[in-house]
Amino acid sequence: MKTYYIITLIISVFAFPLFAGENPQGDAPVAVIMKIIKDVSFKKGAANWGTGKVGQPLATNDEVKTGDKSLVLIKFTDNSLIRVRENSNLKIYADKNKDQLSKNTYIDKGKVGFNVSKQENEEFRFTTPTMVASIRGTEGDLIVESDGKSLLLCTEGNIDVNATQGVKENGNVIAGRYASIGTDGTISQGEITGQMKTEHDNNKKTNTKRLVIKTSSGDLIIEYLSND
Amino acid sequence: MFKNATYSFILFFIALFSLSAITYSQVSNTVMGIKSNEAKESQDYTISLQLYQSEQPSKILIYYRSFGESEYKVGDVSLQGSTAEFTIPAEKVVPPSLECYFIITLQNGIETYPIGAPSQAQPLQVRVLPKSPKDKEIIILSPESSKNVGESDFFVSISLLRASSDVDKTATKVYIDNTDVSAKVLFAEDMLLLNPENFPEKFSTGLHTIKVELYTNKKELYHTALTSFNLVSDETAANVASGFTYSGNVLTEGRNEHINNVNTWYNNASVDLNGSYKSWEVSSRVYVTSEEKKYLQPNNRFSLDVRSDWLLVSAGDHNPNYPSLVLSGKRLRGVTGAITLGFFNVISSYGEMIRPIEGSYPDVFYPNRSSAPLSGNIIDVDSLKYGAPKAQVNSLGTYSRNIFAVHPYFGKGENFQFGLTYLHSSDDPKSIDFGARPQENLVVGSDIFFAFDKQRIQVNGEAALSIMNSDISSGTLSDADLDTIFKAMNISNVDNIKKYKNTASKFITINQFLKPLNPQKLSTLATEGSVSLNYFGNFLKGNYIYRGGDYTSFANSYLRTNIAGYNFLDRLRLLENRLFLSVSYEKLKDNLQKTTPGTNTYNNLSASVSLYPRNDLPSFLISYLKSDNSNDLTDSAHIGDKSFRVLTQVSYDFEYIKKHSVSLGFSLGERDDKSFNNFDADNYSINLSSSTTWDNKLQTSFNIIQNYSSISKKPNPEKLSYTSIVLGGKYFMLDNKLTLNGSINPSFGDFKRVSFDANAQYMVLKNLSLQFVFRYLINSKIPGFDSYNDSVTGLNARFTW
Repeated sequence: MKTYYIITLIISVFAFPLFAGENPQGDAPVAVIMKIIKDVSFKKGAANWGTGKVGQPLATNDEVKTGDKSLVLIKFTDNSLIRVRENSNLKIYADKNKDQLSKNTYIDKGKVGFNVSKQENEEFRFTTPTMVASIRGTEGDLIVESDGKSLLLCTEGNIDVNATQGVKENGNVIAGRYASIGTDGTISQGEITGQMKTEHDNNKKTNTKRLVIKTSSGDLIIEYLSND
Repeated sequence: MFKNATYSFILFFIALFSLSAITYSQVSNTVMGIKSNEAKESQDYTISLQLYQSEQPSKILIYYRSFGESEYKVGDVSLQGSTAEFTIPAEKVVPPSLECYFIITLQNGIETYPIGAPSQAQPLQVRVLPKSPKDKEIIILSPESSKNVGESDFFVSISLLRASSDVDKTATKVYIDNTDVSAKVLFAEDMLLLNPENFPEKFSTGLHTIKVELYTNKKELYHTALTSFNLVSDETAANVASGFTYSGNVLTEGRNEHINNVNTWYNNASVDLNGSYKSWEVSSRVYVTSEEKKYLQPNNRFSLDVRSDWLLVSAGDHNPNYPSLVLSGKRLRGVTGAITLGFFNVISSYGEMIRPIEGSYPDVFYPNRSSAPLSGNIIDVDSLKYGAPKAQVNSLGTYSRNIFAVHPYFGKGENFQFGLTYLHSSDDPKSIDFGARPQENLVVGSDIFFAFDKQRIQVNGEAALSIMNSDISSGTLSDADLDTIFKAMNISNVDNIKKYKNTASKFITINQFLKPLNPQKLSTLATEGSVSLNYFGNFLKGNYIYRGGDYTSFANSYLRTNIAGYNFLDRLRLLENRLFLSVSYEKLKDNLQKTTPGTNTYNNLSASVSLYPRNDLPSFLISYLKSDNSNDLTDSAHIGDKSFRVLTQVSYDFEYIKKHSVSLGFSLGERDDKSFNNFDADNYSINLSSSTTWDNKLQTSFNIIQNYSSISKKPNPEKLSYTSIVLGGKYFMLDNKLTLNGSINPSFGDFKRVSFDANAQYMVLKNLSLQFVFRYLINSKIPGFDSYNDSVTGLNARFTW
């Protein structure tokens, strides 16, 4: 685990200077929380974790994590949307240059769906413990397992992917294909299976269920993410 | 000094009486006016007629076309109480303008709106605003456009990331439902945030609008963006999130009209129910009106739609979509099912397009066939039932007409689509007792579409072949009939013919009333093909059409037939969509099967320049249309008809004390008729309208139109000249719970009348509103006739959940 932290630190040090041109000053927001289901925490810079809320602006270096059966929708100021599914951790980095916003979202673990609306000169990157993906298309999913292995699905456009460990393979994933990035730095690609497609479609939905607990002082309603 | 005072007075006068929505004040005995919002490129455009109900129209058709098109598309306008509404599809809403007029079928004839359109008066001109590159500079992150938002999820977030450097982001103004909430907005660099806790008042559930105004560093208005959202209760939002949601509304209307000293009541009610579960949606509508009459086509409407990503089932009254040559713009009472799988898709419909209406009871019965004279109103009747085989009727009934259509197609239409269409339509001879000449129609067609380079190159093709039988009352010819016919022609071996006849009769009745008589002449073929290129802001399209003179589809009876030719359209966008240059040319010929002595040639040319500069400068639209219609005859049947029209429109949004929108339109038309009739015609009209929103509570309106037209009919030339003015105002009271609306509309000249309108709407509850409507008309006296003033009084109630 320690190794991953060191790798992450190295990536952070070497990758993010690329975005250091004109970082939004201070707490200038680059994204906003659109929707929250159940358990979503938010951390601003070095502050402690607090409860996330709808309408919360997010600036570079802010972190968000979700609990069981939870979800948070985040929209960037260029209208790009990411859906952070349950048990996920992510950190936001953004770089603004005039009217362009390049984004790099670091995902430690979890599952994220994305719908990108960027301009030609902008970048949208996802970084995980095992890879850096540069989104050239618009839509897909990213799943990061607890050991850092990453699975990248591209449903529209294409994605450049670079493994950051081991043999550090790289490749390009086109629409309808997936790439699996191992901890040894290998990348294996394949056609998106029917099950993957179904999961991707389900990930785009934000269906919830409600648990109503009747108490003497009123109903306690717990809304949680439905996997149906 | 004096000039300044005069100028101020004029501006103040215009501003005092101004109009927020587009309202046309053409005079009409049937139409009070038209209301619609601004037409925007590639967005559906809904136009609604406000009707006097004294003469309930049995049908209203809209004829509309985009700039550069010579052929009008026709649609059935949906009639609901005193409103008739039609939505022009987004693909027809293209800059710089579109034009339309209405044909209204009344009990005692037909009226057009505007009166005399399109030949003696200008159709309505609707300016279409182009997409602005500035639209991208305002990104409304939340709430999402046209989406449901739960009360506790509601917040406003606007991104100005893409805003120009000319924009002063801190000067941005945000309005919710016309209330300026800018003071409560948190400005954080590119992001504007408005949290619900900043609102002292709670927004009611229902539809709301958000308007964002950007200002330049010089504090001049730079751009405006609008969006709407539907605020729902948290419970409803939770239902939506859990996959299940429902909504509905009930609208009732009672209305009394005192017209020509006769009192008439009109009552109608509608119920809409909508629900969804995950990817499934259900919607239903019931509309019942006291205007439902057995002797008219139905005015009541019933519909039920069930749809998902891959399935659509529509039942009741609906308008199915098929390739336009086969089925377009027709209401069907029946069922349509569609399966959309992507590679393979199919849509099929079955139902009644025309319902049966019994003819008048016969005046005379003829006991034997030989005693009946030959005449159009002498019909066959059931001799067992009426004791005679023939009878004479005053008015013929209408048969029930059913259709069956199926359209399998391959491809989703993004880059490729190929489809086949089959349509069978037939009158039911047994549906009424007193009718004549029931008909039958068969159409087969195909369509193909290719697109390349992100749809910048598109190729479209469509073809259809029709067969029509104009009288199926006698049924298919028997084998014995064929023997007799061919025997007279000295043809003995007719077995093959009988075989073909028996096979073909499974699809359509085979007898002497079948068309085409000679299929080789392609008189029942309709086909069209187009190629369009869209590069560097230049849209170029070439189109060829051929529609034989006998082509008939009962499911698209509005199609212009007996015409062939080509047209070209070139539309150039310059200066980031601020300047549009458009030109189109068309050449068509009729008499394709040489069935008439002369052949008409139609040459149409249109050109337009429109300029949409910055928000603080006026926008201009100038268009020129020239048409030349002539035939090759030299005698009294010669046609030589040349006409032109020039249209200009200037629109200006400016600030003088308050914000105003002013529009000035002028049109001039001339027709030079070289035919024997020599019906030369002139027409001009000028229209000035303005709108002002004084504050959150008061809006005022002003509109004046002056119209002149003449036709040099000999010996009695016709002239129509009138001026019509509308002065109106709208006032919001009691925290917007009460809305008062009033106007006065005097008309002078050849059309004299003064009308007063008053309207009050009160929100009793958040989801229950009452509306009182009153209208009074002072009519001019006509010598020798009794003249009465008219009034209309109505009460509406709307409940939503």
